[in-house]
Amino acid sequence: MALLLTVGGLTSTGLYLITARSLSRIILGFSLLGHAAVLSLLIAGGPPGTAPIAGKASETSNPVPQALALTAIVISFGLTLFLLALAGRQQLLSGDDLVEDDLEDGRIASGQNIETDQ
Amino acid sequence: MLVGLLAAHLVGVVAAGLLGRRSMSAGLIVAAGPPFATTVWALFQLAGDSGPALSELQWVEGLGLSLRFSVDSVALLMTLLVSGIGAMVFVYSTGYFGPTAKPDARFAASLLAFSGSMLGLVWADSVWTLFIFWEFTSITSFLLVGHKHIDEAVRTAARRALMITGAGGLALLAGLLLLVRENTTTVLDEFEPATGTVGVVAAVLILLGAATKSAQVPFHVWLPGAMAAPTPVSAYLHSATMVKAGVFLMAVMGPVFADTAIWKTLGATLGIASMLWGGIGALRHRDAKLIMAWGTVSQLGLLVTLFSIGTPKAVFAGIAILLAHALFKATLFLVVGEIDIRTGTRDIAKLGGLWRTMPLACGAAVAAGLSMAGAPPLLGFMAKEAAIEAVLGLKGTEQVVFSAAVIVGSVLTVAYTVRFLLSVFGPGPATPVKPSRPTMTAPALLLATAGLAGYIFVAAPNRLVSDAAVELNAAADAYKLIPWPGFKTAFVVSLGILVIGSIVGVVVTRRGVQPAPNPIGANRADASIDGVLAIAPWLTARVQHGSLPVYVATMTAVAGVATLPFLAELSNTQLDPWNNPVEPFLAAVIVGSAVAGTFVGSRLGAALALGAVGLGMTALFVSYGAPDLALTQLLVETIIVVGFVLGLGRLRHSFPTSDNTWKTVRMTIAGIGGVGVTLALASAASSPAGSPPVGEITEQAVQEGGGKNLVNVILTDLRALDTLGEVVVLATVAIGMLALARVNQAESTESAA
Amino acid sequence: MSALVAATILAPLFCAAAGLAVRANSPLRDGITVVGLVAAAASAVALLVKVADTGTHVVRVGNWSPELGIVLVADLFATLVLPVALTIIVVVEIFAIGQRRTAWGANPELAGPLLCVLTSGVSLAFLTGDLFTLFVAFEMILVSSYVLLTHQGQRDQIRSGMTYVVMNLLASTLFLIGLALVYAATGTVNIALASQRIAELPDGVRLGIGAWFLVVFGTKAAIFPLFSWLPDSYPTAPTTITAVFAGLLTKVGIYAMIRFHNLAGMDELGPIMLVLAAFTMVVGALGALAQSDVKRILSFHIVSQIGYMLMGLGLFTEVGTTAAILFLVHHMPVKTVLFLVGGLIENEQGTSALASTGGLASRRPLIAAFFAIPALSLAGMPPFSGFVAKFSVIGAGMAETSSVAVIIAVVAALAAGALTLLSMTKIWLGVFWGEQSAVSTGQGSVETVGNRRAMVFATGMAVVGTLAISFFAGTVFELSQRAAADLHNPATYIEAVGS
Repeated sequence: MALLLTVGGLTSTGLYLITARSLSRIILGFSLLGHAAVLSLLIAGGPPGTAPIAGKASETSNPVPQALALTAIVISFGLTLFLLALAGRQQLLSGDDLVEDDLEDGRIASGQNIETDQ
Repeated sequence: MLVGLLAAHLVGVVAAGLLGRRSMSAGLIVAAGPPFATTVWALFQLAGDSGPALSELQWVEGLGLSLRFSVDSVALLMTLLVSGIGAMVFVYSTGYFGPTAKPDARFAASLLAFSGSMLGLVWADSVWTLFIFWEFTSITSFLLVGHKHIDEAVRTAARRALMITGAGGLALLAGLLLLVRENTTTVLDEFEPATGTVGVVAAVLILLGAATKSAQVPFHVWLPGAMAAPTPVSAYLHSATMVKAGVFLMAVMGPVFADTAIWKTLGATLGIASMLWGGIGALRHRDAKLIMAWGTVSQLGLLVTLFSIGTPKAVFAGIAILLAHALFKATLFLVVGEIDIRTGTRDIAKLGGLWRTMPLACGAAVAAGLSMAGAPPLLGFMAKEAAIEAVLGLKGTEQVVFSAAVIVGSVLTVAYTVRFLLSVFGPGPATPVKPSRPTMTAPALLLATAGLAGYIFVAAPNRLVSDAAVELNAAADAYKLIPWPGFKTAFVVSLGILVIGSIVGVVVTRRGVQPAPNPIGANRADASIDGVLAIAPWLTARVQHGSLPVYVATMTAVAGVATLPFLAELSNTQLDPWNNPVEPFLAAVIVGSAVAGTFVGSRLGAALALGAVGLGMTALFVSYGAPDLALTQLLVETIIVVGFVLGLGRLRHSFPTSDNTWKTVRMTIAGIGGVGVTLALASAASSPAGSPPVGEITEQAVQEGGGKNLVNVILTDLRALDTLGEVVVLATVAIGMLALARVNQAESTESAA
Repeated sequence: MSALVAATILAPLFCAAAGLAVRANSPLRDGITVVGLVAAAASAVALLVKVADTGTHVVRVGNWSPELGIVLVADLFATLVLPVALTIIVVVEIFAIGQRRTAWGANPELAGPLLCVLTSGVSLAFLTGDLFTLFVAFEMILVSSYVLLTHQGQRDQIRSGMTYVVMNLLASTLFLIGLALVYAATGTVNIALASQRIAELPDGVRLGIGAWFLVVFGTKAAIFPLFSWLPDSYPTAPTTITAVFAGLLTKVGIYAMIRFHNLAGMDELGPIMLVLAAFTMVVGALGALAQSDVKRILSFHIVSQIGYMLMGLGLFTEVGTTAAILFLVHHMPVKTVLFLVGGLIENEQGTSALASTGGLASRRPLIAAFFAIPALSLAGMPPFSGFVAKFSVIGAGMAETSSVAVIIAVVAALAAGALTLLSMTKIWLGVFWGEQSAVSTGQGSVETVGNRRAMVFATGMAVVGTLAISFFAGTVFELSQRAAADLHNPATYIEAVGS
């Protein structure tokens, strides 16, 4: 229950952050969402236990979700770094890290598309 | 043989295209070959009286898509029209474009492609073959209408024609699919009569297809526009053959819908409306080609009406008019084309007295015109007689309605014929003309003569028409074409029509030239196409904001909705408050830091909060029995926090804020998403359908994986492929970051230099 | 046969590494790239021939049981789609080599190797029998596409790149959560085992998982209302990159859906999928009509066409799935060709905006023909593959007109057909007819002519490919039918994978 609520809290805050316009906040949001995803994988694997080392007598935790989560963490890590690089580039281009709107969509929305279709 | 003839057309298309690039005439002459050969073949077929020719080519057997051709009497009649007139149109085109024409690969090739497509259509033995070639004719027609595409009006007309016939094609597709669903066959002759709601829907859809192709009101608007095509195209596609495809479809589908009331009422309504509105249109216009086009709408209306009535006599009359119309209307178009080329205008207000300067063309036009008006001694007269007899022979209300419509329609036909002939050829000073071109005059004369010969040697057309009519309705064998019926009711009515029509025609001509009416219908059709084009941006602006936060919010909301099914199982869920007393504490730290990180205003604060979450997670992993995860997490989190602070250090230190409504929306959606995920996870485990094989993994890992740390064994052995992918991902990210860094660097060097 | 499976995944990966290593030497690099891609494509073709003959082939990576390790499953569905996809990539790479030195080329040092990484990911995504490996494959495809899209660092590329990366990253995160849901409910991420167990779950959980993955795969596939990222991001990349994205990426999403939702028996989601399909078809086509740039128009049509495939899937009948698979096979090459032609137009006219182009049919009739054939196919005109595909989807719908959702989808499919025709006409009138535009490309050098030849040659090959699919539509249909039958009898798949 405590863990589920943690997932919920991380998901909500993460989702809130990624709907922001600042790429730094979006990166922050994805970090939180990544935590949520990893934690849910862990929860899905069943109850906790001792570290999954073979040969120990006591009940170990399920190693499979841990392996999956590890892969997921590393992949999210890579993508977060890439987002950081994008943010850096955006900063260089526009002086800020704000996500810009699509120009062409804006043009259509503002009705400037009534030109000839031929 | 049939496939061979079609293949000859295909080869001809390529040859005509290649030769046309050197010389227009050469391309046209080559293109005349396949239609000529087909005409000869059809004549032999007619004389030989051999059984129906049949060929089949499989395509997609599983869908019932095959090319199945057979030639029955109806198809043979159509073949003669398509290929016979086709051959003559190619010859005529050499004159129309003249010896100085610019080489052109497209015209002859497209026209021949059309010719072949039309043959495929009339030879089709299965509905899908018919449909496939039906669509071909729409496309080739588009290309031909747009021949002079430099002109914007031409492009608009081509688009209009394609869209109307294309939409009709889709209706036809839907209708045919319904019909095929109800039957087990796709062969045209084997369809059971349609019944029930499906029958009604199919009838309406197929009628829509036919009405768009055959330019019935209110879909007729594309036809006058199609006059933007070179005149040979107008003569061939848009009067003699392609526009007959809809009528042809109605003729062959007639038996299937014999019991479907809407087929008759809707068909007749469209037909009568077109007959009358087309006739009026032909009286109002002053461009000779438009007069002919509107006349075609009217005549097609008469044909649609007759095939909707569907009695043996009406079917017989329909076939007769189909034949007669192809001959006289093609002639008239060819003459109009010659006038256009030799005088430089098609405006009947500027034309006059051409009987002196263009006597041969005048002769052809008069013969064809009289045939159109239904005057003896011409084929058109006998056909019109049959039609009038057919409607007079009906009972009750039908008799009154159909007779009145056909009589009024015929009066209009006579009137616009008289107006045209008087204005162009009649008294008055002759319009100056350029030298004659025999290749233009000869085909017109030949076709006009055919109309006359058909009257004198009535046995030949009689056999063609009667065989075809019997094919469609066995009871039609009771009728034949009668050159001189004597003073019976129908004949008296005919005479009356001729007299009244002539008077109306003379009066209208005397009244002088009126300004050409606005093409309201066409404008409206273009407006609806433009309307679709205008709705598109409006709607698109509403779904395609171009703004990432909106997209993300939409997706989050949809994901929230997707968790709804889980709620149904929530009642079965049992949850322990915690596995371990340290959990609630860590949970509080993590969620608390996350919330703090969300609302903190400064970048450094956010980074600190992120670090706190990461540490909390690390501790949680340890408490869960996942030390490997904890280690990795610690490492990764450190790098990211450092990167976050350093990499974005140059950014301003506070986050921009957004407006409050949007904030509330975001919070709501994010809240729903979080709750949804929590509940989904809670209920997913409520009654698991399988359990992870933890014990087995342990055993196998030690035996075969040769390691004790199970997570490591899994990563390096059991799921090594995933790890490989993970490495690839990291490497690619590195490449991407390097590329961006290089671009940054190159730019700063550039600006420094 | 296992070697063939491995080759499709590893050959391009190996060549990516080798290509990066020799980056200074451009002919060698291009050669390595082409060799790797051709090897993968050839293996895929061989795989199709074998699997069509002998049935599903399963590779247990590291020889572990499916319960423990990863399996690769070369079933007919995978091996039918794979050769088409990989051949497309080869053609695009040839086009790209020609385009390199023009203004619209991608960075030559990176584009080839990254395309190889993407290829490897595509092969893995099609062949894997494991949901988590599918996630990894998606990430391989996505990360290489992120880099391909943004590596030149131009402002509009960064802007659209952000949209693309963020949306796909969110989808990936949701994918992970979905994996957690599946693992919690079934204790496995093997597709065969999981779908077998999902069928035994209580309805709420089963459909919840189905709906969740509809969102995950639906975002990748760009279905309504999750498609908006696509038309914003695709057109900004260099043509070749867009062509690959257009032909393949969304298709991987719809492929995953066809496999997962069929095997796991999510029939109850059918009506929702059909309604979404209807919206996808119509909104996508209307979106295309609103655009005035060839590449943007084509991007919106990707969305619209995905709707047809979703409709085939949403029927949850064998004929429906057959139609969806057939549509997939038809759509990949046709869409790619159209984007390549977009690249040719750009090369000739200096832009792909309709307002600044015109009269190309007279000057370059070959390009006009290259456009006309796939465009008519896209609009569903016979005798091209698009007609067969549209015909089979609508026909499959017509067979089931008992439900309102099906009727909505059928009507939408017909309407979208008309709108697509209008949209293709719009491009035709704008680019190929009318006055010749005065815009010159300013690239008169001999070198450019040579490049153009490679581009035209590659496009021509692709056109011939689409014609071949049209001509052999009967065979493709039969194979699709068999693949669909397998998907509708999960027992076959599960048995092949074993336990």
